[in-house]
Amino acid sequence: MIKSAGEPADDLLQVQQCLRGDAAALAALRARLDGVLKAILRSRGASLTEAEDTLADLWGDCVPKDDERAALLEKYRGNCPLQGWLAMVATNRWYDAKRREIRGVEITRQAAEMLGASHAPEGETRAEAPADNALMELLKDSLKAAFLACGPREMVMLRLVFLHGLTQRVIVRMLGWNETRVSRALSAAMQQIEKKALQEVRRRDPWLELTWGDFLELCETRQIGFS
Amino acid sequence: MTNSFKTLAAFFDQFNDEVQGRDLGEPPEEIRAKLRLLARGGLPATEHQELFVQLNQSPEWVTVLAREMKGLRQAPQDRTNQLEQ
Repeated sequence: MIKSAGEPADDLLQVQQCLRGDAAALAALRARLDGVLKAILRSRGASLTEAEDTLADLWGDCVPKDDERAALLEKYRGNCPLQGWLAMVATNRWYDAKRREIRGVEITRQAAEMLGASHAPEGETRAEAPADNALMELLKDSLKAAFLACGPREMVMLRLVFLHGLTQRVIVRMLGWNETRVSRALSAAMQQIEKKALQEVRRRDPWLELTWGDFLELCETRQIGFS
Repeated sequence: MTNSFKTLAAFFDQFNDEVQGRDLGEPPEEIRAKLRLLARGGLPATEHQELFVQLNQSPEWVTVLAREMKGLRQAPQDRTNQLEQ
């Protein structure tokens, strides 16, 4: 019996049932998560058709098939909730497909411009080879731009407080500021990182609709669930 | 806010060994001296910017700065403990 809970330990148990060939377990898993995943993809910019196609492929790849490819669920280690893990895989797949589609259209247009309309290539044009992990590249590059836009002093302050656990009072002594100023500087730096990172995502791929919560969740899931 | 920055830094750092310059290791003595001064609030403000830029280029030096600052925080307590003993 599949539970509806989303604890990683329960999730791992369900995944193991699916991988053992329990069709009912897979059906229950799909019934539990398909709607949620569809809603997540839609909120991130996928059309209904894109979301449904992505998920149909994803569920098909979850368990072993006749070919020699590893089943998708074999990669799940149970160190983060399955819903978040599958949402990341689905977003990745949809993002790659969408990029290929858009690049394909761009290449067609450019080729048509270069050759003249009468020599435009027919039908579907070549698409760029799928990037190994294009979504992660996007997040990383956007974050890099955001960190660079943040002042060096503020980056050091953020590292001292949030990575090394120092109190703001210690920063006060270091900089000769008052606590309010330190607190404001930290808040402003985080807000700037958020704003710049999302700006960068939109600049590169205006069709991708990520909230800051999405951005953080994808970073965290990549860090925990795929390491 | 705490978890957010930690999440972002952990994500970023796993991709960015080359950007973060981790291989530089311990800072040279000149930088170490400045870090000690900075930790105590004694580094002139005019020298802050240059040092912060260097710290961003070598984030592992921030760990050295954090150690210095934690050492200062612990020092009075250590002295109290010694007196009590």
